[in-house]
This record gives sequence, C-alpha cells and structure tokens, in this order.
Amino acid sequence: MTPQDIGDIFLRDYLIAMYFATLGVVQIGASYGGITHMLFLPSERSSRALGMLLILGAALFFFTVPLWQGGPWGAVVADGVIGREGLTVAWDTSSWSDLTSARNINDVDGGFSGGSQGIWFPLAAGLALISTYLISSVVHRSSSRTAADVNDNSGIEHLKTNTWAEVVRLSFANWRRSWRGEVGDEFAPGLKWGGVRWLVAKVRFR
Amino acid sequence: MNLFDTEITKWLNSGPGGFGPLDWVIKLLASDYLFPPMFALVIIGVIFIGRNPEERFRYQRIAFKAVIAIAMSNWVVAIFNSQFDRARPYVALPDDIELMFYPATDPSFPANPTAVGFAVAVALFPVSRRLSIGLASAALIVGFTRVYAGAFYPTDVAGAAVIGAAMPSVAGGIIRLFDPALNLALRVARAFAVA
Repeated sequence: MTPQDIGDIFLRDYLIAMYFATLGVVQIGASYGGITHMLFLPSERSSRALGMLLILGAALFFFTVPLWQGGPWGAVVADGVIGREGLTVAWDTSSWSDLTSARNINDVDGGFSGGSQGIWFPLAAGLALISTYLISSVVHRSSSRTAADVNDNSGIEHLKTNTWAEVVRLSFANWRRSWRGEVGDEFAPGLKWGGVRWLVAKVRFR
Repeated sequence: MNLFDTEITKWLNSGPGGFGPLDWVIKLLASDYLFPPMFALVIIGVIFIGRNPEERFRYQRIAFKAVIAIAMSNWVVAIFNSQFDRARPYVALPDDIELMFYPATDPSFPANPTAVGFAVAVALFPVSRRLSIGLASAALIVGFTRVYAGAFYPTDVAGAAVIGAAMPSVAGGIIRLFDPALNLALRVARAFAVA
C-alpha cells in the first residue's frame, strides 16, 4: 500500500463526512434564517435537531471508519506502512484504544494537507448545497402557499414561500430583465469602478 | 522566553501515558479533521442565518471576509514558516517530549490551525459574540492539545492567535478594494436563488 492508496481512502471518507456535515449545517442555518422551503422537516426546531444529527453522524462516521475498514492504523507496530502517528504499522483495522490516533496521518504519508482540504471541502460543500436545493424542492413540492411571484432579485428570500425549483427560473428571468440596472447600481459614476458602468452601457444584451 | 516555552511544553507533555482516557480525547481534539473543518462549516451556516435580505446580505459579506481571512492566515503562516525554521518540540527535545501526533515536517511557528480558527472567530464577531467566543475557544483547544501532544510550543499557539486575529482586518481592506465585484457576485448568486 502506498500513500496514494491511503489518500484515496481518506478522500472517500472525507467527502462523505463533509457532504453530510454541510447538509446539517445548512439545515441549522436555514432554520435560524426562517427559510422554511430549504428545510427537510416541517418545523424549524426539528430541522435543527436533524442538522445536529447529520453533523454528529458525519463526525462519528469519519472517526470510526478505521474500526471496520482496514488501513494504516493497525494496532500492531510492525513491518507494514507508515501510518497513524508516523508509526510503521500493519494494514489492519484499528483498535478502540488507537481509534482517535488512527486519522492522525501526515500528508506526506497519505493524510490531507491544509491545501487538499481547501480543494475537497468546497467540492463536498457545493454538492451538499445543490442537494439541499433539490431535496427541499421535492419535499415541499406541494406545500407552497402561493404561486411564485419573482419581481425582485432577493434570492433565497423567495424560498420562505416557494421552493427553489419554483423560484429559480423566474428569478433568472427577472435577472435577464434587470441585470443592467443591477450592475449599474454597483458601478455607478462617482462610486469606485464607475468606468465599468460606461462599458456595461455599451454592451447590448443578446 | 525560549526556556519558558520549553519548560511549559515539557510540563504539559509530561501527561501522555499517565491517564489513557485523557490522551485518547486529546488525540481526537488535536486532529486535523475535527475543528478545522468545523471552522469552515460555521462559515457556510452564516450564509443562511440572516432573517431578512439586508441582514443576510451583511452576513454573506462577513462570510466572504472570513474565507479571505483564512486564505490570508495560511499565507502569512507560510511566510513565517519560510523565514523562521523553528524545530518542533519533539525534534528539539527528543529525550523530554513524547510525541502523540504525527511527526509533522514543517516548522513549528506559528500553529496553523489556531491561526485559522482565530481568523474565523474574529471575522464572525459581528454576527454573534457567543459564536465568536466559541470558535476562539475551539482554536485555543486545538493549540493546547497540540502542545500537550508535543507538536507545538505555547508561543507557536500565541503567535498564531495574534496572526489569525489580525487577518480579518486585512481581509476587510481587500473586500473594500473589490467591493462592487463582491456585491455583483452576490447579486448574480441571488439571480439563481442560491444567496
């Protein structure tokens, strides 16, 4: 087994854990923000509980995988691979006593560096965000109180009354009508980058 | 200062092997995969907690500031690492320190996870004082557990806390410089109903 093999195991477990942890965090955040059509459960309180369960479950999964998945965290210090805490250990499942050190593997030996986390975390989080919009749209597909009416660019504020699937097309259509004004508001003459507004005025939307 | 640092590290590191359950917990708290991802997860949560569009817009800008502060912290830590090649305690004091962590090969000063934690904690202070204190406490816990584990000196942690706490101000300056671009990015995200 090489650091590449160890890295592959880490990557799989890390992506799964961060995906579910992000699902949980978004449920908690959306519940505090009152964005009810992003929630998976009917009430804000139950959504927070679900969010906490998802976060704790993700952490539990990541740190207990070595109990049943063989890896560089075997209890026997012997000829094998450089694994937990830089020890040369047998490729095996972890014991309970070594469990919390099982994931402490240097990046040169197959663990994750900060840079790797900086790449893979946004990927897992992005997938979780997309999943949240899709799942919540299915969960609330018949619960919208009113037909979606999107005449302003207030984004997820609309998800308080309608699902993302109902809102996104109308929201983007509204943007197509108003994008020049939206851009102009940010780059108006007198403000910083005012010259960009002049450029935008020259561009014709096709 | 170095003597003080060394003695504190040796005293704290005298614990390993003495009480198994404590070592077991310390190794978990020192992990690269417990608190550091938590700092990033909190930033994602902040994107959604605003109760109205104005508050949400303000929080999303703060979240963006926190992300830049993390990047700046990592960058400043890398600069310090390249300029001050301070040996890790388990390398400098092999007879006195029992390493309970993987043998990291980069320099000891400053403690990267603590810098990142403080950067996020200070950046998110305008959102919630309690949340900010909680994050700063978590950043200190990571630092303490790594000193206990023989991977850092106390001054590595203290220096990292100062660096991390300063970075949101730098990030704020960068955001002001590119203010219209950030606001426009948020407007585009709102067009897709994702912000």
